[in-house]
Amino acid sequence: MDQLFYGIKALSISQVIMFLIGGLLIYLAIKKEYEPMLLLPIGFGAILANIPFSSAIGDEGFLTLLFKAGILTELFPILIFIAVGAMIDFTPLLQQPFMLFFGAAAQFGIFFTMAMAALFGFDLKEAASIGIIGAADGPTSIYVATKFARHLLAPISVAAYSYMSLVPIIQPPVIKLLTTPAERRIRMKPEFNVKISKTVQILFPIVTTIIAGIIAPISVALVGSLMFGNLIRVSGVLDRLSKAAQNELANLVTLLLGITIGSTMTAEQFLNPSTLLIIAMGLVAFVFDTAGGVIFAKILNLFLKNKINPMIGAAGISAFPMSARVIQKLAQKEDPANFVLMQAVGANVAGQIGSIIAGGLILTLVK
Amino acid sequence: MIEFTKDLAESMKTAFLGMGITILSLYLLSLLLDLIRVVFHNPASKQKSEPLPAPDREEVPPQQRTEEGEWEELVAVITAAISSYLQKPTDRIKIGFIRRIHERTPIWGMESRLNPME
Repeated sequence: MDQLFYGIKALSISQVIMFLIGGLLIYLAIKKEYEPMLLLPIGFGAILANIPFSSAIGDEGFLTLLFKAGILTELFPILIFIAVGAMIDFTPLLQQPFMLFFGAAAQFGIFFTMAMAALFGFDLKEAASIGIIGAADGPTSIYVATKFARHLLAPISVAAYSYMSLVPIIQPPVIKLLTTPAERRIRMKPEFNVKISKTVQILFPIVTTIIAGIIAPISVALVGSLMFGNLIRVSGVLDRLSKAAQNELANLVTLLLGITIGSTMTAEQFLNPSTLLIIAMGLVAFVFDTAGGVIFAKILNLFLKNKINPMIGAAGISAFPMSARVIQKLAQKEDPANFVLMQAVGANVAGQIGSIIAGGLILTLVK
Repeated sequence: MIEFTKDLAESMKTAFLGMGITILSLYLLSLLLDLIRVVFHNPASKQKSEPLPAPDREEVPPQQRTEEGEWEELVAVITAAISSYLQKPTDRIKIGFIRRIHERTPIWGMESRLNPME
């Protein structure tokens, strides 16, 4: 008879709390549609991992096997990057290379949060892993956290994906605080009518990989996989592979990545004060990313003849394409005939590259 | 305490270096992209993108094409289309001005026009 009840007897309050947290993530995914492709599997993975004596985790558990094979080897983030690369159209950036500046400026939150986390007593590698939440890029966060602070992987991933879905809530107040209505009404000269030749489109992923690789060799896996996916897309001769990367590969790896990350959310690892601190730090990272981009654009405006709408700076975070849409929405609120979406998309795409380079630099600089 | 101070100092140093190198490397990349664009600029492609010649006006009988009548018709058609799209009666729509937009507007530009965010 004891055999029947040993699961119930072993159930602890902390595990019940984890069920509720898993349930909350599933609720947010279904009802609020916050990153459902990730939060739903993460939520369910958390439930699976916290059932007493769960056969899903442990030495022979399938989630532990997936964790060892896909996360510890860094294979899942890399495969996701191939898929993301195949999905991204870099044309808006190629038409306006200037937007790369904003992709760099909006990484400020990463480095600011890293210093803040060190101030709160996290060791350097933990602080770097927390700061990378500001990359607004799930796979980069997972990649860095796996290398530097494996024990913090669950809260960092949950914070990264949650805040990415909360960009429409986080960014507008920060932007409004830092800009005047007149600045938000600035109309930008359209530069996106430039035709980009196929040669340029093909050279872009190759050149970017080489430059990023030379600056931060450790980032080659990240940048290289992203750009490989993009090269498949723009080559024009690998349509089948491009579609497979965009659909089958992306869907399958996302499915496995989410549930595997969820399985790391065990009560003993997740329910502690540092989780709350990490989640708070993630918010700080997103706020300062936004502020960094906006302030940088305002500084540039001091020197430029054709003024930039400073909101474009905020689109330099990697949350694509959500951030660009948020900026367009804010611009239209101030002036319904102001279309800044193309410029915002350019900055947003630049943010993808900026976040990976920043991640690679953190891996290089932090010893 | 010493370890904490050391970590804090190291994190500040990494922050300054990291931010600086990120900006520099992306600046370098933007310069290279400009260079690549110039090197591989294809003037022929620009010629191709020039608007096609206007259709032969003689195809339409001149009596049907009074300029004012054409504009009124155009405004009526656009008003009806907007009314149908927004599902609002025409008397609740006021057309301020009509202008031609780029014919090669990229997909994101079209998206923002067709899907105004609320």
